[in-house]
Formats: sequence, C-alpha cells, structure tokens
Amino acid sequence: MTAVHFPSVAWFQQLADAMAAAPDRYRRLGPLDMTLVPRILFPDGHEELYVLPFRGYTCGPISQAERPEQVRAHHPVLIEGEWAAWREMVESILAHGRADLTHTLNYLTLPDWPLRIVPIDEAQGQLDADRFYRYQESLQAFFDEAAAVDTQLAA
Amino acid sequence: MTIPVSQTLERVLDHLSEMRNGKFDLRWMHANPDGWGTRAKPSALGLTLDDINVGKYGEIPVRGGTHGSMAPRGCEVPPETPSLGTYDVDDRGTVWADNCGELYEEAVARQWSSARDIPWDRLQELPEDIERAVCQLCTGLTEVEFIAGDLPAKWLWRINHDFHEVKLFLASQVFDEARHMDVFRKRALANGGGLLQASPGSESVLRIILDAPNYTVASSLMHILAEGFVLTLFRHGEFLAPTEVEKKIFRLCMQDEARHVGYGTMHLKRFLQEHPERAEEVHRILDVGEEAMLALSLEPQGIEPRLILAGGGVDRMQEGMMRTAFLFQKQVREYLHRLHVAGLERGDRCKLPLELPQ
Repeated sequence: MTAVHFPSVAWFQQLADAMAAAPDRYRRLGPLDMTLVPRILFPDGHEELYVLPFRGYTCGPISQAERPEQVRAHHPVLIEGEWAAWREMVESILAHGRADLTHTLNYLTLPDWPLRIVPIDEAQGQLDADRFYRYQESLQAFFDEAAAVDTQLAA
Repeated sequence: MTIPVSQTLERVLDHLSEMRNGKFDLRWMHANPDGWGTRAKPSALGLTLDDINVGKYGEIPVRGGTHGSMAPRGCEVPPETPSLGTYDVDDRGTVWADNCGELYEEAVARQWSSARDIPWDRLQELPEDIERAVCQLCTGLTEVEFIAGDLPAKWLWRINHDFHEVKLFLASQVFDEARHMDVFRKRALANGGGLLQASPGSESVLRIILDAPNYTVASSLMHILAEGFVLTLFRHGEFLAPTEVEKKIFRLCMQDEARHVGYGTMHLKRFLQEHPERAEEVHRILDVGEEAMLALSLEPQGIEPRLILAGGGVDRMQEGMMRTAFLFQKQVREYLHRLHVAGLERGDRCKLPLELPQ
C-alpha cells in the first residue's frame, strides 16, 4: 500500500472514509453540522487550506481552498497553525493510536497556540466557534482515525 | 346502602351506555381540518423537530395560546378546555431561540453515561497535591453545575406550551446538568481523595442567577455569562487533565455546556430583536453578575487547584499562574463576542477587565 501524503485531500479523505466505515460509532457520538477548515502554514510562507464539511455522521466532499474568504460552506471554522504543530499532532496520533494528553484538539487550541480556532463567518462568529466545542468528541475521533493511515509527512 | 352518584359519574355512565348501543362521538376525527394531510420529511439527521415544523405546525406565535393548557401547538383546542393557570411566560421574544430545536435534537443524540462512558479503569494514583487539586476542582463543579438545572426548572413550568421546543431543550439541559453533577462527584470519590471545600463565592453568583427577576435576564446571566465561563473552565480542565479519565469527562461536559451557551446567545438575540427597548434590563443584571464573577475568579478554592495542575505541583503554582494568564482574557473575549453576536454591545460597560493584573 502506498503511503498517503499529509497534508492532502487524499489524506483527509482517508479519515472521512474511516468515519463512513464506522457509522454506529459516530452515531453514538452524535451528529455534526459545521465545516472545519485546517489551515497549515509552512515555513516557506505558503499555506494550504482543506475544507472538511461535516454534516450528520459523515464528512465530505473534501476540497482545498486558496483563502478563507473562498470557503462557502455551512458554519465554517478555521483551525490554523504552523506546519510543525500539525506534524507533531499527527505524529502523536501515529505513535499512540490516538492523540496523547498534550496533543488533543482542545489542548492544542485552548491557548490559541500552537493551533487556533477562527470562525470565518463574522455574523455567526463565536456561535460557529462554539460548534467546535459542541462536537469535540466526534472531531477528536475523526482526527484519531489517522492512527490507521499510512502517512508520509511533508518534508 | 346506595352510593351517591355525582353528576360527573352520571355523565360518564350515560356516555358508556350510549357507546354500548353503538353511538360514538367521532367529531375528533374531523377536527383541525387544515392540519390534516401533513407529511413531514426526515432530513440527514433523521426526523427532527425542525423537520416537523411544516405548515401551520411551524408557525411560532408571537404570543402563546391564551387557553393556558398543555394542548399541543397546531391542534384544535375545544372551547371548554380548562386553563392550568401557570403558563404566564407566553411572549415569544422572552423565551425563543431559533436554534432550540436543533440543540434539543443534538442533546438527545449526544447523551452519555458517567457510569459507562468514562474509562474509570484507567484512573491512576496521582501525587497527593495533584489528587487534592483534582478533587477540589470537582468539588467546585459538583457545587455549581446544577444551577443550570434548578434555574430552568424554576421557569419551565411557566413557559407556554406553544414554545415546546424551548421547553424540550431546557429539559435536556436539566438532565445534562444532572450528569455533570454526578460525574464530578464520582471523580472526587473514585481515586482515594474526596470532596474538599465548598465555595461561598459561587453561592453569591448562584443567588444572583436564581433571584433574577425574569427568565431572559436569568438566561443571559446563566447561559451566556456563567456557562460561557464554565465552558472555558471545562476546556481548561481537559487541557490540565492528568489522565485519560479527566480528559474524557471534561470533553463530554464541554460539548453539553457549549449547547447551553448556544441557546443563551440565540435567545438573547431574539429577545433584543423583539424587545430592543429592554436591552438595559440585560445590561443591569450583567453589571451585577460580572462583578460577582470577578470576585469569584480569584477565590482560592477555585483558582488554586488549577494553578497546581497548570504548574505541575503545589510548589510550582507561580509557574501555573503564568501558564493560565491567557485564560481569563479568553473567557472575557469569548463572552463579549457572544454578546456581540446576540446584538448587545458591552465592551465599554463590561465590569470584567480584559486582563487580570499580574
């Protein structure tokens, strides 16, 4: 099996496929209605944005965007940070089978560093950001699916 | 001996006799003709409360029905239906939020069990100062969490049944808070520690919430100010958690609390849209609530356990202070942002400083 590059649409699609393959588990956790947009800032100055629309118990279709303003989706919320932080989170999941105590989504975002939650739609603002808290178990389970993905981290 | 027959019993017996003779009423079969033929369609989440709000059933009245009964919104109410005399909170703007149906469905779908869903078998023996800090944190949360059960319960029985989505959401909130009270109590008693000290400062805040003169100002205080702060505390609890057990507890509680804050924000928005002239009432109660929250924020029972957990021990609390300095600012910023989304600009009037003096 070929390793999947992180970050890429294909990599996030693997998480979405794993979510779709475990409907009972995600039903038990509860429905979602938001679009999470990982924004990865690379040391060379370029950035990549991935649009992950969560609706009910599924995620998709996954796409990329150039800029946050281009994201036209339901309750869009950025989760942004430097590449090193993203890499460390994925490595933690790969090493432990899930995020360890200091690499959960909440842990990484609470102090607004190394990752940060930013609502894209100014009118909804904090209400959209609060959805990130409302669906925390589901979102963590989604990212923890990375444990089973043969991942090649960007150099 | 002859048993006296009341008029009511006499009527019942007469009716029974008619039924035995094949005379049935059946007028109910043709009641509410414009409500018949409804086919609500399930959405991606199943058949939700919002999905069944179609046609006349989806019309949320500005004023709840004057019949004063528990008759469901959209049915035909016979004129002889007696009023129960309690549903006097009947102004849509004082209770409604556009997201209460969604939040109720989400609450039902996201229920969890503190007995089943917390990995209690992964509890670990902790250094004594850490265990004491966790237990004090849990004592405080056990003490305050059920205010968000008692307060909705105080108003629920007065809210008009035409706003059933609000009542259902508040009922889900009462149960969420029951679980929060139980899970923090369980954690305090599960790992060799126990409950420690209650908080007089918390009781002052709780009294202001319980004594609030009407539902909306009570909701602004509780759902937006108090639960908004507690939501950040739950996030901080997850951040500081020494084991997977506390991590899971705080993550689950965080989800519940965020729903409550979401209702409060959207309710205040609706209230200010329908009653902009009453914004000052909300400002006044928040003036009082914010001062009480500020006093509470530095009470030793509340702050010191988190400093111990943040620093990594009782001898490293000053490091803990540096590591938690961001938290108060975040609480205030998110609180003001929620008020802004609701349409209440409070930046200049807020009694809470954006940063605590170092």
